[in-house]
Amino acid sequence: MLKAEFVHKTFRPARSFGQELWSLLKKDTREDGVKAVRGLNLEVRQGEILGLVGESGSGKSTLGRLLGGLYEPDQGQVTYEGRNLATMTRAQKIGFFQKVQFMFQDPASALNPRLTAEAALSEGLIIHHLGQRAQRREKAQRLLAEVGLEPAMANRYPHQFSGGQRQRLGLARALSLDPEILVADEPASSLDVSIQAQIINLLLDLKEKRGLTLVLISHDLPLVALLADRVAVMYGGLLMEIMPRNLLGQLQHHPYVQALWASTLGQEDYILTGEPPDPQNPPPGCPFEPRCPEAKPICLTPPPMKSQEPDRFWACHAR
Amino acid sequence: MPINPILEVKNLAVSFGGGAWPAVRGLDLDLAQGEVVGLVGESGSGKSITAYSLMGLLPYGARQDAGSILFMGQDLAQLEPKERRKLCGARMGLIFQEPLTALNPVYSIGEQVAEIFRIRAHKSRAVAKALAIELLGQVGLPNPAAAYASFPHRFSGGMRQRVVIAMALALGPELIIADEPTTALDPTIAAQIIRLIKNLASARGSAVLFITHNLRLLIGLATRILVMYHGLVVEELTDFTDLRHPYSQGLWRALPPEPGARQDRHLIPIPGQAPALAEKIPGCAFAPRCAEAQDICLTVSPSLKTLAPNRRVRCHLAC
Repeated sequence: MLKAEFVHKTFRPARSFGQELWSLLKKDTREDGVKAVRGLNLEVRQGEILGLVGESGSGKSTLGRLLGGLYEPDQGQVTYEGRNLATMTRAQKIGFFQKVQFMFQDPASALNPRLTAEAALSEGLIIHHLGQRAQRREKAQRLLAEVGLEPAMANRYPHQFSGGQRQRLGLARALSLDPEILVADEPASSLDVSIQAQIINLLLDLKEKRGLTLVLISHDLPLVALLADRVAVMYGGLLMEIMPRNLLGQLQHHPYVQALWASTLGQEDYILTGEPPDPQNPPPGCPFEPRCPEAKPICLTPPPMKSQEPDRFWACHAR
Repeated sequence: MPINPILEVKNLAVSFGGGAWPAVRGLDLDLAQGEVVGLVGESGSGKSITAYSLMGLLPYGARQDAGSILFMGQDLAQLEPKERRKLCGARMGLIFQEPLTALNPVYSIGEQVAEIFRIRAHKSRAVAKALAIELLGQVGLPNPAAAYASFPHRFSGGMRQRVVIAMALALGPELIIADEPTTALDPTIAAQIIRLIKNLASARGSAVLFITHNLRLLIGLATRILVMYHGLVVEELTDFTDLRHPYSQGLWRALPPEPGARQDRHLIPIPGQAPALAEKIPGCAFAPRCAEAQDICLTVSPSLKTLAPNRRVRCHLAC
């Protein structure tokens, strides 16, 4: 349905015209900037929950934004139903943005503090010229009810909601255009445990009810392992391993995934040393090589994607 | 009563706004030498305020209303501010949650660590520098001499947290208070930091009060756990498999289970939300959210019943 093919994304520091000219004159072709995503392939299938897991700086949020068209890839392409996002016509692109919506980690900063709940829910409809004023108002009421908020809250501003309620409002706004795909970037990690469970359950129920496709981005491995049909683990801008649901806890092919799993569960036997790679200057081969207890000389070259069964891929020389 | 009590807190009450917003409502807490005690609660439960009141670092507007804090047999409230300052930082160390805000951006890492030795232990500059470099090595910073001269912004979150730990441990405190030391960190780094705190504390025989919102984190770390809700301890336990208070049980159940343990993807939330600080609840503070609540729970506030040594529950129904 939605496919990322060999996508790269580098964030370069802003440079002045003079700096550009200088590096051109000096024939300086040095690549600087933060290499967030460094060439990976990933497919989102209709109706599934795809979990994207990784630590901060692994590129999981960047990949989510590339998939949703918020960023354009430097290399490679993102296709939606076979059409390349970069070559879509304006009308097609507008249609695409209706079908893919986002839910963000921190609803306090994702919602405009000057818009009431109803205005926030109507904004997308206004931009896409959908419905008259009365219909939009009715739709906003319906959305509020759908996410378990009182209709009377429609005139409240974001600061008048609690954290959990704000996240419900963020979800309602993402659903206001009736999207097919929802990219949820850490949807519950800013909330307390007891509230987090409420939001996750709501997300699951609405996914089922509306037949959504869900891309769930999170650093919480046990949560993703519970929810996702397929789990993709990222590290240093690359995919380390993709596996179907329920296999995560049983057998991790990639040493990094094994280490991540062990540290999440507090198992002392597999604690890593060192730090994640510097995204400005990533290792030439496997990004995990400097920290990997099983590293070999061959790991200094990029590892191939291996597979023994469908839906199960891992990138490691050693295993 | 513990054999070598480091800390004895009796009936501690702390409030904001001169009693209008009680944050801690009568807390009893003992810590013995070499013990690691976990303090668990969601936001607003009063766990961080407890830490700050122990250190004498209550924020503006907060006040200790009642209770006594005995540190090594001395009542901290009775001490002159000057005497108290001698204890806090030297014999009680605090590890902050957010290592970036705990460090001064305009001084080098080394100067900030060496400052402790110069001002608190009256060492000369040269001796302080040598001690600081040795300490930075002990907390696992690679190349401590280079780290001494670097500034906080050059360090990753995990390395900054190591520096904050170094500062808390500099003068060999008998008590270490760790206020959510791993919340801002990624799982593989968090595992390193927890192991570091555990090893350093046991090597020095210090007692640790480990404050967190994540019950799972304390497995294998804490020998005793206190669960807080709405400013009160609701349960004290030593065995994770024997949670008696409905809130502790709910907190545990709300966490994502291990993969394969359950087919249903839904989490088990605690309904409703935590009461606001100012709310006066006639009965048990948790009763409005409790599935097992009886009539008595809504009218009579339960007392903290001692079931066994180090085993207390504040619930009418659990005994």
